[in-house]
Amino acid sequence: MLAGEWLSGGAGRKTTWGFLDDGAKKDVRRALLKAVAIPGYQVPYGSREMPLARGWGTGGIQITLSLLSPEDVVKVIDQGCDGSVNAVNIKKFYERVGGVETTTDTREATLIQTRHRIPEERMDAGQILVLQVPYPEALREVEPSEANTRRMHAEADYARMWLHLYEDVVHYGEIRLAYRYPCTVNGRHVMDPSPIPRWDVPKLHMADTLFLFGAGREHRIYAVPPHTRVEPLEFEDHKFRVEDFHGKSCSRCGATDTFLDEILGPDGTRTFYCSDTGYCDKRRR
Amino acid sequence: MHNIAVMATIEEHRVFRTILQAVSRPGTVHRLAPTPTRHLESLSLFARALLDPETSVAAASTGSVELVTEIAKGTGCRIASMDVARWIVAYATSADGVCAKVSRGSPDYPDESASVVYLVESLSETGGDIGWSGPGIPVVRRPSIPGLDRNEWRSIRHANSSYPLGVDCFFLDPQGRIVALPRSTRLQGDV
Repeated sequence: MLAGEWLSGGAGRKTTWGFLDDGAKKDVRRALLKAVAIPGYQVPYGSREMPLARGWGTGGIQITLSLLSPEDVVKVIDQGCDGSVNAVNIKKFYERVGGVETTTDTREATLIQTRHRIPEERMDAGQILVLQVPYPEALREVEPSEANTRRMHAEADYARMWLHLYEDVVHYGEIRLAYRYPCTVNGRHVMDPSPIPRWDVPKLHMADTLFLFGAGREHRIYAVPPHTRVEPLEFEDHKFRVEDFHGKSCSRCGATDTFLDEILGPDGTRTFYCSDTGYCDKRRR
Repeated sequence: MHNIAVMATIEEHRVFRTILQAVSRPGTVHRLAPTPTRHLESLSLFARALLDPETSVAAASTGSVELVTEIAKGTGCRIASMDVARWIVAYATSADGVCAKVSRGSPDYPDESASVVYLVESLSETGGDIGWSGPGIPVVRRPSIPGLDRNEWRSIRHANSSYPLGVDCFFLDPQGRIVALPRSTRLQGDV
């Protein structure tokens, strides 16, 4: 059997569309509705085996496949990059099983699946961002037991998380979290925003766009609807702040207002490039 | 050219996308499909995108039993008693404070709660006297949902008064229009 036949239902019969079986899609959809209704709360769901290893974006893929439609224009990014092997393969997968068009332009896309970045260009109300999540539980760093973290969320008992951040401030004068920075969503649930850099966290707050988070290996789905408060945990006398790229700019496009990747040359020189390659390419055109 | 099964699947995808937009922007009116003219058709579109043998449905009152039977037959969804069913179908005019009788989830699993589908005669984004605010709403929306009486509004507000426990509501009209009222939405005004 050819891979294409297998992906489309086997034996050349085109009886399915969008790869997943109906039961899997409906399970994901019901979880998505609950996730949107309770912003920041992790809804358990029956994560399926996907044609790539868990930890490579299976959660995001299951969400995308459950809401894809043939009119969609899909963009897939991997740490800001449209051209990485993972992003390209996932994009090809959607072209094959959904017949959708793909793009690298944030503005053209209707559905964007991403790993560890939110695009630099502001997304609008018609777009949906699907984030791949390795560790959905923001409290896992301070509590290893799932039963206990579930109780902590139920009671809105986030004291240990606050203590963890406070100890960082006392020991190091800074909260040592470069990514997965915990946020309070809708004034209630503390949420792991996935491994996006701090730079991207403010983009979740009162956005026009719907954000969906899928953790395939951990069987969890959660969401941030548009126009929802997303507040990074911070102290009155120690405010949340994003990465400081003062005096640095992208060596390709000259941007001074984007999240920059630092590349260390063999001779020790440091060069900076936009992490969002689609935006960088657009600026150079 | 797709065959019939694939076309039905694609329609389900489009319908779900519409439901997702509705729930992420409470109070806005969306259309599941251009074709429906009856409650059964609107409800079928909704149900085919979401229901299967893994979940359960109940009628809020004798008036909606027939619809629920049809939906269960069409999707394979189980019929359950109202206190445990995950989906409840209610005619707005005979709902009888249904939100007070259904599951609101548990503190550990607030998602294990019921969603109520109210069948209404029409839906409009403006003109209502109850202000909706919260996630998905920039300032305040006042959708009008004719046929839903004070008692019903009170039962919804009461069911959602201990967030994150609560009941998520969907309003469907015969023309396939949908408005969602998730538990995160706060209702202001004289309810």
